[in-house]
Parts: sequence; structure tokens; C-alpha cells
Amino acid sequence: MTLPCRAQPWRQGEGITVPKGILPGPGNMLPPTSNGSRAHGSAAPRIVISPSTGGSPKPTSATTVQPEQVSPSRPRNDTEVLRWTGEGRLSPPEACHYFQALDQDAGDGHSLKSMAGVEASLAELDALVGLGEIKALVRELQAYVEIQRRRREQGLAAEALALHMVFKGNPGTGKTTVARILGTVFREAGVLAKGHLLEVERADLVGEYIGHTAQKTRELLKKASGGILFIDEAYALARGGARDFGKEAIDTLVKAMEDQRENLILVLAGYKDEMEWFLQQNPGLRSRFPVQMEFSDYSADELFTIGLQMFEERQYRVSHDGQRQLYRLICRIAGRPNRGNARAVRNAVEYAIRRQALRLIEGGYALTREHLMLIESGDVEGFLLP
Amino acid sequence: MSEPRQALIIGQPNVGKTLFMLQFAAYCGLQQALLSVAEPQATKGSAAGVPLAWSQARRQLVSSMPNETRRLQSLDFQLPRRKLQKKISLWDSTGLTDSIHQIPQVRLAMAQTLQALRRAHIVLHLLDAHRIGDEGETAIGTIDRQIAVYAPLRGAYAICANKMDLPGARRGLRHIRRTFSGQKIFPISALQSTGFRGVQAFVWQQL
Repeated sequence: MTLPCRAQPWRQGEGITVPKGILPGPGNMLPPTSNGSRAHGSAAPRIVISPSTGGSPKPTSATTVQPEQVSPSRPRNDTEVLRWTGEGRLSPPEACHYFQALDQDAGDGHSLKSMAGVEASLAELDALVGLGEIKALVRELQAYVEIQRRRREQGLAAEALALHMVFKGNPGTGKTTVARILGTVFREAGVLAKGHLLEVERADLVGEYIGHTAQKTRELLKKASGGILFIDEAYALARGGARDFGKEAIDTLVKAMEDQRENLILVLAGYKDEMEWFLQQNPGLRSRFPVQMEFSDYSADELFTIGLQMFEERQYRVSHDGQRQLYRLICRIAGRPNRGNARAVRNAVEYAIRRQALRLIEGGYALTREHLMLIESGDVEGFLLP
Repeated sequence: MSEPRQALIIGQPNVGKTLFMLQFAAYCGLQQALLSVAEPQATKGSAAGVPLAWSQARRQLVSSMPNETRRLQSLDFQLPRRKLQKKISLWDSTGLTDSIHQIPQVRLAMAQTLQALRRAHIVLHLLDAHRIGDEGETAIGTIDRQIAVYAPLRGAYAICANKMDLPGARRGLRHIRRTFSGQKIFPISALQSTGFRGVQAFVWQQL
């Protein structure tokens, strides 16, 4: 059998440069059958192409080389590996080798991309004031997640990730903020599909009649699936005693924790002492929450930095006297036993902004950009602590 | 009902892949061979064939010539263990060679085998213990070593040292154990249906 009929006067001699476009390109490639029979058929004269057109990575059994088919030295995807094997450009062991290489590339590509995302989220965490221990713990968790993923890739035994957490700390110590950042960290690391934060409290979980609670809780769990379910003041669930519906909510949550452990992280948050009490009420709970984070109160200096950051975020600037006034106020906030921490500072900041607005309106003079941005000491004064 | 898990039988030509598929399915209690066939160039997935009795299937499909099988063919059946059963799809494939084969159809069929290797959940890698016993470790091909590196990365993987009924196979098995230390190795004889128990238990674990 000869090649499919074409006018090919140049086939008379050997070593002739083949005019481009006459030989079959990728679009009109010869069916492999004709290729193979050419190898055996003596009738078909050999076509030799000058080396400048590029050499095949692996010469086929036929000496014919098709120029457009060549160029890339290694296959870029599965289909190409298989096609090249079929065309006789790769031997089966080479194909196997390329499969492995492709897998590795894909793995590296994924981890590089996700590493960048994780780092961005961690940078956001690092930008928070204080929280030294929390930051260290989050890094630890992230490293753990990453290594378990790599182990799984290599076919090693990897632990099922149990990342449910208890956050202990007073209000305004950054529990929600940290939980939100954790959501994005775990999303980028590939642990959670969505990484969103659903913030709920007792009233959202507990129903009014028998059976209502499980239903309500399950609905919330469904909404939180793929992200973090953050239960604020979780101890309230156990407060009502054994006959309270809160217990039913806890049971439903515990079951969901086991069933959806791959795609849901549960965070119980609340005051330190109350959370301790809560974990004692349900012996099974403590072991199910391997990660416990303690959020300590902010110092006055930290709160002051947070306050200035809050003004800055809102595009305000605090005058020198204003800063002194703010610091005095924050010392009062930090000195109280039932301190509001960052939340109280935020209230103070918002109060000052309202006061400044009133001052500017009542002043009745032409307002420059500078005026609109400046917070003075009078604006900060007079904030009543909660 | 979910898709049954795919177990792919792979190996060099003439190590007994097709015979192993038929005998193993019969061992697991399948009454007759109802093959699903995927041709390498077919546009559609697979076509079910005519049910064959075992002896008939063996006559038609098994040969002592290398590269007799030039397509993917599979048997779907229930793998029994004690009182339970689990669905499995057992795939027989074209033998892979170290070099590029000169016949295009065979090359295409090999590409198809490789594609199946890319997708299989379980890989059963057949080696000819008799030939390895005779010829020494040179009979273990580059392709065998490559599969042993690649397949475990993707899923469950076990080596079946076949033709244990023939002379010299014990020596071959020793070679195999040395070359592939750390892998699961089952000495079997597809012809006499021996050694299948371990293979069955292994496959069962992966389902």
C-alpha cells in the first residue's frame, strides 16, 4: 500500500526539502494505519526531511517524520501522552513516566497557588494587633493541614483532619475576626469548600417545641456546610439543664461534627470560665474539640493601637490632643473588670465620629478635606463606658 | 447505584492477563462471561457482547501469541466474601511493551490501556514468574518497573506473579520479591486458579 494519493513529484529523490504545507499537518494528519504500513511497504519511497525542521523526540518505526507534528519535546497533558503513544512517539514506559510527571506538576501547581492564598490570609491575621499565641497556633494548624495533604499525595497514612475548635475569651478579644480569617485560610488550603463564617447563638439553634430544635439546627448546619459554624456563647446551650432543648441542639451538632467532618468546622466561643464549665457538662465534648484557643484581654497599649487603626480604616486622623484624650479613655476601658476590649474601643471610635459630625455641622464654616478628616480631643471626650 | 470500582489487569504481553480475568471471575462465582468491550478507536464507551460459556470464552480470547488482546474488555460481577457481595468491574487490557510497537493498532490499544491505568481504582499487575525464573531479572521490563512506581501513587496496587504452576516459577518469584520489595505480591496460577484467595481478599479490601 502506498500513501493516500497525492501529487508528489518530489518523492523521486531523497533528501529533498519538503515544501511546507504539502505534508500533512496536525489538521489533516494521516490515519495511523497508513503510517504503519508504510514502515513495511517497500513500494513507498522514503521521505527525508532536513534536520532543521526539528527531530522527533523518539524516531518512530517508520522513517517518515512529519514536521508540524513534532516541536514540543514533552507532552503537556494526558491526551497528548495517549496520542503520542498511539502515534508511536512514546513507548509505554515513557508514557507512564510522563503521567507521573504530569501528576507532580499538577500537584505543585496546586500547592503553589494555594500557598499564595494561604499566605495572603495569614498576612491578614498577622496584621491584627496582639494575639501572639493565636497567630502561632494558626500557623501550626496550617502547617499540619498542609503536611497531611502532602502525605496523602504520597500515599502515606494521613490523619482525618479534626479541626473543631473552642475559643475562650472575653467579648471583643478577636474571636470572630480570627474565625473569619481561619475560614479563608482553610479555604485556600483546600480543607473547606467555601470557607464562609456563619455566626449563630443559642436562639438560632434552639426551637420552641419538641423536634423543632433538631430541625432548626440541621438547617443551620446545612447553611454552614463548606465553612465554619461559629456558635457564640455556646455555653448557653447547656444552661437550661437536662430537660432543656439546648441538649438536643448539642446532640445534633455532635452528630454533624462526625458526619461532616470533611467539610465543616465548628467553633464554640464564649467566656473562658463559662466555656470550661460547658465542656465539663458534656464529657464527650472536650475530646471532640482538639483545638482550644485562649484569647486574652488586650492591654491598654494594644487597644490604643487598635483604636488608631480603626480611625485610619475609616479615613479619619486624630489630632495630637485627641490621641492623648483617646489614650486616657482607653485606659479607663482597660481598667474595668467587665471590659469591652476592642468592641468598646470600636464604640468609642464610632461615638467620636458622630460627635465630630455634629461639631462640623454646628460650626457652620466652610469645610475642607482636612476638616472632614480630623478628630479633635473634644470629639473623644464624654464617651460613657457601658 | 454508584458505578462499580474498576480493577485493571495490566502487564507485559503474554503474561496471562485475559486468562486471569476469566478464571478469576469464574472463581468469584460468575456463571458466564458477558464481556463489555471498548475498542480503542470506538467513539462510544463500550458495547456488551454475547454471553459466552467459560470454555468458549477461553477458546476465543486466550492465545499463546503475544498481543492477542487489542482492546479493553471487562467483566462486571459481584465479589463475594462471607455473606456479603460488592460490585466490581474487572478490566483486561492490552499487554504493554518496553519499546514502541510497530503495528499501529497495537500502539493504539496500548494507549487505551494506559488511559485505563490513569483511571483505574485498583491495579493488578501481572508478571510471568516462569519466564523471569528462566531468563532472570532481564525479563522484568522497564514498563514493569515504571508501573510499580506509578500505579501505587494513584490507588490500590498489587503484583500477581503468574504461571506458578510452571517449572522455575519459584525462582522467578524470588526475583520478583527482590525487585519489588515493599509491594503486595501474590503468587498465582491463572491456569489452575490457585492463589486467588489472597487476590480476592485484597480486591475486597479496596471496594
